This record gives sequence, structure tokens and C-alpha cells, in this order.
Amino acid sequence: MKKLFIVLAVALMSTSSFAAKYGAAGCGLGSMVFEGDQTWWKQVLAGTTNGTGFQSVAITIGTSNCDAPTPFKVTSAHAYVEANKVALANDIARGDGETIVGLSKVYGCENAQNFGKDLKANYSSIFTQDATTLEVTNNISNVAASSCNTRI
Amino acid sequence: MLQLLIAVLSFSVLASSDVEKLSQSQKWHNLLHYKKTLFGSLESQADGMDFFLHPEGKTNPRAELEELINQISQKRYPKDGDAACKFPLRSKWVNKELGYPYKIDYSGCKTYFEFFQKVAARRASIVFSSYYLGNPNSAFGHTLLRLSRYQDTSETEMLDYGINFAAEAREVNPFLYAVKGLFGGFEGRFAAIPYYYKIREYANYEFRDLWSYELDLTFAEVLEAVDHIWELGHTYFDYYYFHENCSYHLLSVLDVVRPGLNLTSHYNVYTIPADTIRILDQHGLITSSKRRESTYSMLQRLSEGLSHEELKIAKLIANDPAKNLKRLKYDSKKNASILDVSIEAFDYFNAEKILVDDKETKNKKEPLLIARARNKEISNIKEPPLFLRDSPAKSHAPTRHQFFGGHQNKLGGFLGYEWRAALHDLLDPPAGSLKSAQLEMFKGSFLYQELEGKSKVAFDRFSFLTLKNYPGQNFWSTPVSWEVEVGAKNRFRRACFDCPEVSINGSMGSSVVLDSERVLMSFLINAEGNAQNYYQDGYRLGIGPKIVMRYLFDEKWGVSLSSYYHFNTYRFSEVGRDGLAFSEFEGRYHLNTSVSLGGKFNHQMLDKESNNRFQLSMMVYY
Repeated sequence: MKKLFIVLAVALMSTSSFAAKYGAAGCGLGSMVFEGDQTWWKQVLAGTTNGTGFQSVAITIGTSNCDAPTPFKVTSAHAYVEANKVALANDIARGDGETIVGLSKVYGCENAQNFGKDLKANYSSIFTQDATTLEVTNNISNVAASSCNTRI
Repeated sequence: MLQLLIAVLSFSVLASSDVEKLSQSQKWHNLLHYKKTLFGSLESQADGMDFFLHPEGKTNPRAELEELINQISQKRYPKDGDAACKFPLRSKWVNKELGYPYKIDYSGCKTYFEFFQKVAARRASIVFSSYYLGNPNSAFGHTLLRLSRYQDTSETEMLDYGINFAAEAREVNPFLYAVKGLFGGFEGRFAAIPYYYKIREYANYEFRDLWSYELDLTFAEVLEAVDHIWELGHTYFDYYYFHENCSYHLLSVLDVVRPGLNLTSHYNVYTIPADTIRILDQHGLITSSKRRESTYSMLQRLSEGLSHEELKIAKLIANDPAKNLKRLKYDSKKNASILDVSIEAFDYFNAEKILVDDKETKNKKEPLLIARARNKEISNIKEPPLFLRDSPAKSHAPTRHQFFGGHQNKLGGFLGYEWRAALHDLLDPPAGSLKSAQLEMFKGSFLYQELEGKSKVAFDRFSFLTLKNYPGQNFWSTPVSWEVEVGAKNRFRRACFDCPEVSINGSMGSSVVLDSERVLMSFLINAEGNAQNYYQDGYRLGIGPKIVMRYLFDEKWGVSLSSYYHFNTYRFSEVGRDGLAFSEFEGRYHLNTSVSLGGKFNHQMLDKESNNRFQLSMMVYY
């Protein structure tokens, strides 16, 4: 009987410790990344705690039915590149993909397809050896400046 | 001073009957998350007291409403931290209901506006993150709300926000972790997280497909939801894994926006994430569905376009790009397809290292990406096909009644009843559910039998938890199949009619899954421990091989066979001589999504004495 309880205990322990590694239901990356931020609304706005002040690009949307003043920021390019860098590198190497579509929105780029092609052509100058996210973002911004018909 | 006086006067002018009426309205109750307690009184489910303006607000809707009116009547230009800024939806609503007696200028609510602009929501979807049996937290799946900033549904999701309700678990002791998670020991909070983090977490790291269900809400309703989510940021809810969980609280937000729906009222004891999608679908709240595939699903799909030879090259490149890139000897289009598969495979193999941003892994991958960038072909990876029959919105209801009758040799006929809280077994209606896994909580049955002229009711079996996962072997992955079952059963009813034994059972092995998961064959090693006084020393341990087979003819019916042999049982001195063999054959036919008919035959051989049991049953899912 005693042994059985031990078996049960070990089984429970192994599953639960596995769980603890990941945090509670669904509470994963987001909270891991932004842990330590004190104000609750910053926590709610998790995205803002990361990389503000760089390359903020504004886009304009219509104000119909909406109290929000315009223009407003989508997100900072730096925050976007930081969070999506793995998928973005894949997509830029391939010249197409949804992270490029998202990125073109961040830059207010009208033609995501062309932007993708230009990014692909410049892959090696964007992702240089040991480049920081800020450098990568700046490199992408340079491509955007020539590729996108937009104000930066 | 004068302003204050006017405010106080205008407050007193409000008919108290109006206030009383409003305080009893469904909208007010939903805004404050008041629910009836067992004793019939109202209590808010919110546990962080910052959610209330009045000290008795948690239990007194009237006092809370009066205090809100009092506070908003006093400040025409509220600032951060004032009632109107903290609770914009509540204050707008009460002002409207009273006929706009207060002119409130919200422009001083700086942080609220920052939030509002950042999210910039125009549409809302519920996202279901598929079952993840690797992590008990998410075994039943997970739901979150996705707020989209673009009106056009075909626009990118990459800039959307995910609204997530989750427990803040900072418990390292695994026992306390489990207990706290089940019984409200953690604080659950809402958070707005850029949706791309959620994609990274679920699709790229945990390899879970994400189903998005566009909600049929007006723009005004979406904005109300955003306001309410802001209000929820001021509080927490004690988190209960089974009931007040991620899915429950998302429904409570929809109940605020549309009080007539009463979605939360469907769930009084437990809330299964996939089931909340089904309920939303039944209410006609889902306008369209979309599936985002995980890295693993995408790898499988891209692989379909390559021959076995090409796949082998893709795998070699993924394992060591620098060394194996020279093996690419096709035209540039084929090379590009192979490289695309290699990139997904690399991310799949190295998901954990990629998550922690491991530099060595990044450098290892670099030649692969450079090679792909140099190849002029633009990938045109299409969106994954949408098979609605796999959509969790189309799944059967999780709770099941089973009425059965049958015959057991030497004991005679019996009638029985079984109840299962949730969720799915290998023969339940397959649409929208796991096809190669079984996931059950709280299943119990009893029997009624005539024995030596007397009517007897006896316990049959109980399972607290049954988890069985049979992922198939394939080119990219050799996953382990496993089973865990904790419960009690009545094994030797002939020897001892009503003697349940505690049972803990586990298996490990390997499975083959074919033909869109219609065919399942699993080969396992099984071990079981039982506790019952009639065993020597009060317990028994058995170990041996097990096979599980299942075939689904179509959506309507399927058959299964499960068989195991334990080399030893309870007479440990005679190991190998008193084996136990058990086989069970079962078939089931689904009349519709809520009623099934089934038949089952099992055979048990122990101590050279055989037991046969045959039964027919009807199952009702609700």
C-alpha cells in the first residue's frame, strides 16, 4: 500500500513539475518576457515595455465610430522585430510570409510583396554577423526607406 | 465648492427607484461579475478589491452603484485613478441609463487612452489553442481573445492583441502547485499581449494549431469589450483550473457586452475550453473560422510536396546546414522547396533553443537562411486548408450519460449507468475532437444485478483521470505514446461482488497512425498497481505488453480492440505462473452528434479462470 502511494506521488510530481516549468494555463511567454514590470497597466500593455523610443512609425486609420484620436502608433518596429526575429529571418530569406506583411504595416508600406522581395535581396546586409536587434531594425528601416513609398 | 454642491444636489434628485432598478439589472450584475451564491445572495467573482468603489461592493450591488454615481457626479474632468477613468464602461453605462445627467470629459484618462489606442480594436475573435497533452495545464486546450485592428478579415493578424486570462503561478512545490491550481489558490489576471507572442508560444514552441473564430459583434460591442477588459485590469479572480478558468472569464466578458446571452450560465461546475467554442457556435456568434498551423503542422504540409529522397536531403540539411547544403543538386525551384522544408524542420528540432535565443543555434542556422536568400525563388506558401470537420466548434458535447445492460458469465444479467464529466474517448464522435487520443475526467459507473434472488446495486468502475496519447510515427518525429489512468475498479466480481480496488495504470510505447487518423495501432508496455485487502499484503502489481487498435469507418462509426497481458499479478512467489489476460472489443455507432449506440465484449483470464462480459449501451452527450 505504501509503495503504491509512492508511485502515485512520483507520477503526480513528475507531471506537476513539468507544468511548473511553463507557468499556469496559457501564461507563458508574454508574462515571462515582461515579468518584473511593476505597474499593472504596463503589464496589461505588455508590448509597450519593450523597446519604446525606436523607429516608431505612425499610420493613419479612419476615425469613423471611433473615439480614438489619430494618427496613432501600431507598434514600434524595434519591438516587432525583437519579438518576431526568428520568423522574420525565415520569411525574409524566403521573400514572403506573414511577418513581412505585418512588418509592412508597421512601416506603412503599401506593397508588401515588393517589400518582401527587397528584403530578401538584402538579407545578408540586414542580418549581419552578430547584429543586435536594434541594428537589424535599422537595416530593415533602410530597406523600407527605399522600398516603401512612405514617410519615416 | 459650488460645483460640488450642484453635484450633490443632482445626485439626490435621481429617483432612488431608478437606482434600485439599475442595481438589479442584468447588465450591472454582469459588469461587476455578480453571481448568485449557494445561499441566494449576490457576490462578485472578482477578488481584487480594487474592482469596487464601495467597501461592501463585492456583495452589495446597490451600494456599489450608488458609490459609482456619487464619484462620477463629482468629477467632470476625471484623471487617472478616478472612478470614471478606472471604470469607463460602467460610468458610461450608468450615465446613459440615467439620461446623461453628468457631462464627463474622459480626455484626462491618459493610461486608459494609451491602452485603448494601442489595442485599436475593430473586431474580436476567440482563439482556441489545441489540446496539448504534453502539459497538464493545457491538456484541455486553451482559449484567448484576439482583438484585430483591421476591419478586413483577410488582413494580417500579426499586429493584433491577444487578451489572455491566466493564473500567475509562482509556486515551485509541485503538490501545492496542483492543489492551488485546482482550488483557487492562484490569482488569475487579464493581460493584453501582442498576438505575435501568442503565436510564438503556442504555434512555434508548443506546436499547437490555433483556431480563430471571428465573433459576430458590432464595432460598438467590440469597443465595450475593450473598455471592460481595461476595467478587469484593476482586479484578479481566484483561478480554478476546472471552472473559473481562461475560457470561463472570456465568456464573462461577452456576457458584459451582451447581457442576454448568459454564456457563463452554461458552466456551473467546470468549463472545458473547446466546449465554450461549441456553445458560441450554437449561439450563432461565430461568423467564420480559420486555422493557423503550428511549425510542426506546417512542416508536415510542406513535406507533402517532396519525394522521400528530397525529404532525406531536407532532413540532413536541417541537422547540419553548413555540412549538407552542398547536397542540393536540383533546379532552383526544387532547391527552394527543399530549403523551405529544412527551415521549418530546423525550427521544429530546435524549438527550445530558439525560444531562449541561443546564439550557437542561431549561428548554426545562418548558412541555411543565407542559402535560401541567395536562391531567387520567392516562396509562395499558401494558407493551410481549412477542414471544418476538424474544427473544435464541431465537437461533441463533453459530458456523457451511458445507459447499459448486459450479461456476465456465472453472474447473469445486469443493468448499469455511467456518467462522465469530460471529454473524449477513441470511439466518441470524431468530428472536431482529438482522433488519436483519449482524455477523460471523472467517469464512474454502477450496476444493478440480481444475485441469489436478491437485488443488488454495486460499484462498477471509476476513473478520476484517463489520459491516453497515441501520436503517430512519421518522417520527422518518433513521438512516444503513453497512457495514464487513475481510478478504481471492481475486478473480481465473482469472488467478491462489491470490492472496488484502487488502480493506477500507465503505459509507454509507440503508435502507427494512418489514413487521416482513421487507423490507429499502438504497441505498449503496460504496468498497473492495485490496492485491495484480498490481495497478498493488500496490493498487486502487474506488468506486460499491451496493444490498442482502432478503426474509424467514417464519421458515424468505429471499432476498437484493446488487449494486455500481465506476467505476474498478486502471487509474487509464483511470478510468471499466474498471469492475467484482458481483451476488450468495442464498436460504436453515432445516430447524431448527441446520441450513440454501442456494444462491448470483454474477456478476462486470471488464475485459469475466465470472465466474460457483454454489454449494449446508449450514450447521450450533453
